[in-house]
Amino acid sequence: MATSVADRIAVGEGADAATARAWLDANGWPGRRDEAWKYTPVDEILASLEVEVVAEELVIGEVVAQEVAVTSADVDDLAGDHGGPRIVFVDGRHAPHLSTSHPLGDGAWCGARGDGDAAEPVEVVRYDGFQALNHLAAHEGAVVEIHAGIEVDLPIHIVHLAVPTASRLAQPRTTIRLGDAARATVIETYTGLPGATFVNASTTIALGEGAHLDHHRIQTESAEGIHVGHTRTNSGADSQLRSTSVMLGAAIARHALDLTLRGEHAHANLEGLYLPRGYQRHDNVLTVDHAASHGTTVQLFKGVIGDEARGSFGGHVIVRPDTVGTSADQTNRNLLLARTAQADTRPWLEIFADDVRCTHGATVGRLDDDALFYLRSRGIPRTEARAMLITAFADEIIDHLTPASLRGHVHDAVRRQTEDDT
Amino acid sequence: MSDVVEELVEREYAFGFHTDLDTDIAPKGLSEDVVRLISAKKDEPEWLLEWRLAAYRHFLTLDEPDWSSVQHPPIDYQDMHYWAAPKPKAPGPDSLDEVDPEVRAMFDKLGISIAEQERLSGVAVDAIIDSVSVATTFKARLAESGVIFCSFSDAVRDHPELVRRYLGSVVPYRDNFFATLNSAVFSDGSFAYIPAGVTCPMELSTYFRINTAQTGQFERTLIVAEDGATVSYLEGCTAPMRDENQLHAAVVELVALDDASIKYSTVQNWYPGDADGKGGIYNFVTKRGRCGDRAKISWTQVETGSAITWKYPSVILQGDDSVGEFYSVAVTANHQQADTGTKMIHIGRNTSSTIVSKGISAGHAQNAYRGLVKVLRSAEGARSHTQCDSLLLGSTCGAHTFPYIEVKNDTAQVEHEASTTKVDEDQLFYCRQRGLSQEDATSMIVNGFCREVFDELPMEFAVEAQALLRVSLEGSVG
Repeated sequence: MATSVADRIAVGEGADAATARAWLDANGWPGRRDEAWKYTPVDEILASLEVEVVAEELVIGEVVAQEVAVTSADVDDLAGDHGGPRIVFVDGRHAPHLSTSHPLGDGAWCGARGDGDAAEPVEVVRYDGFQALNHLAAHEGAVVEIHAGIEVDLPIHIVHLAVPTASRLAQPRTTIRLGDAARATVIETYTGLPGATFVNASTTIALGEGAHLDHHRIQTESAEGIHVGHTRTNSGADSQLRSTSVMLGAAIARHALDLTLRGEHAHANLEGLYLPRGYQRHDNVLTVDHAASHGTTVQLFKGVIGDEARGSFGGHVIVRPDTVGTSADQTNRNLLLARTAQADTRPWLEIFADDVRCTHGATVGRLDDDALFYLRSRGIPRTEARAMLITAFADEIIDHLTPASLRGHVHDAVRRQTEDDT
Repeated sequence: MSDVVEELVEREYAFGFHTDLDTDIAPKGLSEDVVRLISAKKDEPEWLLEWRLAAYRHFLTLDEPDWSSVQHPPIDYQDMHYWAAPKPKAPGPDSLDEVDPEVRAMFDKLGISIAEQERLSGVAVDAIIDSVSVATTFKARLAESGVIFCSFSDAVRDHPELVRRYLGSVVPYRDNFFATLNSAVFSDGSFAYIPAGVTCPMELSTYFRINTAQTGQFERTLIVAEDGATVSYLEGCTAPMRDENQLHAAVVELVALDDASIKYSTVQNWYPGDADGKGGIYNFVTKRGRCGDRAKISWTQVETGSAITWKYPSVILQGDDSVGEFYSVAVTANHQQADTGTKMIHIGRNTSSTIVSKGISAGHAQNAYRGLVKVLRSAEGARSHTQCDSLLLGSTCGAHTFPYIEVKNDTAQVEHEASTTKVDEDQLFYCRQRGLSQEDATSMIVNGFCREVFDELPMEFAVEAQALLRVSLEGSVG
């Protein structure tokens, strides 16, 4: 299994590909007994990978007919236009005819690049088969590079679009590098046309000293698709990361966010919203590694789970020995909207130093009967009252999205997703 | 703070001594013959031997679990004795006066002399030295109200129908590696049966004591509370100093039928190993209770001993309106490791569970809370609250929290909150400003940290628990 899929894809030529291949051969795929995959239906993902992913040795830059059929209007509709440069990839390959460029000024660049100079070197810490599968493939990756001291005001938008008819594995790879004291806003949208898609995404973020990044990851792929995503971030000293993850699409979606605070006084604010419906499975796995002193992290993830869906959150805060002054907060709140909805939460703290202040909280419940009663006693119909309460719950996350056009876009998508629940 | 931590690391095990008793020991190793030997030694009926053998055969198919966060060298299950019994110097004692004087002297050293217990506290003590119950008190008084409280062996002999009905009904022999091992080779333990509608007239208590070198202890406790019965059970243990690691894999099963209530309190203070973490007890325990309608099971534990503690007292909330509680203080110092917590399985309607866990870690110790709250689809209106706090004393120890919450019913309300901190500098400053020494101040704060759990302990244990906490953290908190 480990090799069969790996053998069918076009393999990259860089050192990363060799590292990933060796790792995959040695360790294979994750299974249900792997803690980090406990709430992911990994068997179904692997079965789908084996059966549905057609062996296709695709040459970089080759564009198949279905992909050509995607229009700019489709992208506007699916991902929105947020005023800055928009780099569009279809099934992991750059689509210049759908992309728009805006001048970013000196010292700032975004676009598509081949393997060699695009990616951060692969780290095999907390690594798994899916990351390896992505890293061993040949890429035309999305790259955002902001040099030291440069501040970019325009939001940089990277769109990864999956097209079902190609019936193959899409493996987008994104690299975001901010130099010392650089500042930027990057939006990653994972979306797709309706139908069965399979996306295995990998994003690497490196923040220099005092860098400041707003990173928003919006996933609205087809409800029949499978999405496995990894975001790996290294934070330098005094850097600030504000990250928001919104998960709406895919039949099975998993996003693993792995953050290491490498420099002292780094701060990260990690927020997330997941709204599985129907039979969707949404799994969020967070690892926050306080490897340096005086780091502060705040996590807030919220789940709105309806129908027969299952939403999961796994948070893991690690505080390394010999660090001091760590502060970490972890919160997961889940709203169950239907009798058959399921929530799992696993907020972990693993602490090897004493000068810490760490907290976590988790809740699972349904809409507050008192709040509903209050609204209805004011003459607001039941469905409207429910919609108001759900919106209020989700808005705590959505309100932190920037720019406003993204907020509006996500707001509409969330409203469409929760319409039937009220 | 570093000086006091050093003192702590150097603390000696206050209860480390070894009483010489002639013991009857089975040869080392685990085999079908050993299982048959144990069963034969105890004159067990055929069905129980079959049950043990079934467990033994299942054990052969299992691998030792490795998912917990504890680290230890591999255990050689063939390099230990599975049976040891004190040889009676006179035929079975009828009263306390006839109990082996050495045994009684040992209890005196522990400060829990049976005589004193009998006279002053009114607690019935089923004292266990190694694997055989030596003295059981207050049987007569308990018998008046129909309560059966005896050693497990006696229960098998005198009440086989009860044992057969409930043995393995909560923890089946296939449950997990250590429970299966226990099922095959369990030596003795306690049995309590409280008939319908009876409130047990006194608190039941067992003192466990591991005494013979290289003897695994495989206690089996079974407590059955019939409809509307109420009982409070105390379990406490200390063990003598030893260089070889000793394995302890106990199983405790609680059956609370409709409207019954069982309160199970533990003070665990086995030998934790020396300052380098050498020796010490491996404490791998399976504890679980099952609730009928409106029944309540409450686990309270104070864990200060053992080199490794690995236990998760659990409640299966099967009956409607049933209640499960877990109150725990786990203290680890030196090189101790603890991976402990609870499981609350909500099955019935309107079931509720409360979890309060306090972990204190000092020296090079690792202290983990691992818990599961599971609300099944049938558990309409389930309610669960978890409070899980860790306190760190010193920069080389670790405190970990691994909660799992799985909810499959939208009417459930489940909350979990946890924190990990060191002793608050402001609180310390405030106390010192009032003229308290650093040690007294820290001691006060740590005691306050544990108060919520100590308040749940029966009076006899509350006193002992506070003393234990003080001894366990001597030097570091005063």
